[in-house]
Amino acid sequence: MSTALPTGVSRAACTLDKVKRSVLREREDTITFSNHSLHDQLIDVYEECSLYRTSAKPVTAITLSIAKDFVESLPHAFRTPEITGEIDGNVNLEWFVHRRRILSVSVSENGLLYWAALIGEEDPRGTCRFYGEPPNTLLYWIRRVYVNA
Amino acid sequence: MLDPDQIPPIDADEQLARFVVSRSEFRRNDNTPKPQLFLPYRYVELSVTRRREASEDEIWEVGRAVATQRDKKLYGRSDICASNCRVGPLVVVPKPISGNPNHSDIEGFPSDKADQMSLASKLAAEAGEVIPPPNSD
Repeated sequence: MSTALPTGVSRAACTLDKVKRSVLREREDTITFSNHSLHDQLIDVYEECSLYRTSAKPVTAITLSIAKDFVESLPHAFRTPEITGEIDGNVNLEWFVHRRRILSVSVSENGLLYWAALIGEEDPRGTCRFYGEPPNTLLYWIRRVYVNA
Repeated sequence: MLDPDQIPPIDADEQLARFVVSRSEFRRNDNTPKPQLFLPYRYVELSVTRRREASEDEIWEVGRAVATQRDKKLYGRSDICASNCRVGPLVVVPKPISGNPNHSDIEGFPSDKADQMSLASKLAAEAGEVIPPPNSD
């Protein structure tokens, strides 16, 4: 007789638990991969835009940190955006399929997110503040970039 | 280049060059321009150079001067048709300057950043792929 089963726990429950742990592990792997890409890109932006740049505001550690927090707050299934520095010191996040299927988010040092999407003939845009949770509007438009692409 | 004393109005089918001086202004995997290339900074107009009556050498000379002035590397240029710049409030007007009679401005950008980004996305969607300068490695 097996002793692996805790008292009062069925084989089905154990199997379910194994599946759940496997899914969680896979999710952590995805996060690790995603964060690696995120961190590499943030380092590139820092090296290119924070140390020396004429006729432009440097990207600060604060802005990079807000951009990082925003990307990490997104659902894990979302793709990591392409991250670049902007001439005004903001950090640009781009979700891109092609030139008429794109969402740009410009992260400012004071936590404002300026965004504009171009999806076919639709051209929504707006401004919102990042409070630690991704704004629903942006979640919607990030999804729309990839739906039926 | 154009005669500085006789600057003609900009025709709808004229090609305008926007010089790329930052890696963040184009996608290196396919050389397509990013909206950031067409995003004005500090001002509500964007500098472009008319290709009308200009040789390739003259255009690149202007590009190198722009990069030098800003202490940047010249990555290339993206050409866009004048008619494709007339989006929403945007207009293209000749603005000859010393050393570049072909200089023009895309004017009419709103001051709101999100609105600017939206217009920049539309310009980038119509602009040509980034052409590297001659003899670049």
